[in-house]
Amino acid sequence: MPLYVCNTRKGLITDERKGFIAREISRIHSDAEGTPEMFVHSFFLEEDSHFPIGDNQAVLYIQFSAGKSEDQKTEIIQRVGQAFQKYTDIDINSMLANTTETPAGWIMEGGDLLSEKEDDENWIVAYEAKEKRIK
Amino acid sequence: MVKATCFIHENQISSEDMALLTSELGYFTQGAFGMPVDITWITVPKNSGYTVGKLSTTIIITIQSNEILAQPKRVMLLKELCDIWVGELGMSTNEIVGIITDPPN
Repeated sequence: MPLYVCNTRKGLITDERKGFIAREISRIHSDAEGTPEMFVHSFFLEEDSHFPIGDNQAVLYIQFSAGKSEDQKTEIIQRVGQAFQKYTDIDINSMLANTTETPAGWIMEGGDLLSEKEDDENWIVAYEAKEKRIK
Repeated sequence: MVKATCFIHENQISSEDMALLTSELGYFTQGAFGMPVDITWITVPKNSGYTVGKLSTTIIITIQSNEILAQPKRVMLLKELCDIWVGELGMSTNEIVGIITDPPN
């Protein structure tokens, strides 16, 4: 976690641009929260009925771990919106953003509960050690 | 029914494995919550899922409990849930995000 799901009209983002945007999202979230980029997931869908677009060109659903201020969430959404403007022709006024928050203690990643603090160094070190053993 | 939503990637899981997972998740929710599971599978198209800015193999499964869970029980169930994917598909634990929420207010 976090999870960013972007559902757009067909053909609005090339695969190459999806990669660019995903890297920007990872960087933006990591800058804002201190979360290592390895935990930032960005999924792009096209006209998926599970994430209604309505009359818009795109909708962005963000699932955060709980505990963020409104200012933090607003900053992230604005910067992610700018990334979409940079790499796509999507009209930012035709893009909705919805957020949900899930308590960290409800989320297991890498076999452990997420830490309440996204920049918890002890948790991150333990995760990286596991990843090295797996590789 | 217990609701579950699962993000997987295109061509990541064969139809046989998906049937097996559906069956295993059904056993899981029956044992954990006393109810069968209703799974919504969301398939992320090829070249459209990224983790740390690189193409992702991470699956994200969310199950909505039908009761408010005590944390020790939630942790036990999360481990069991994630182990299903490791055991059935041979995935790494680092490729699995499991979430068990309380019911909505």
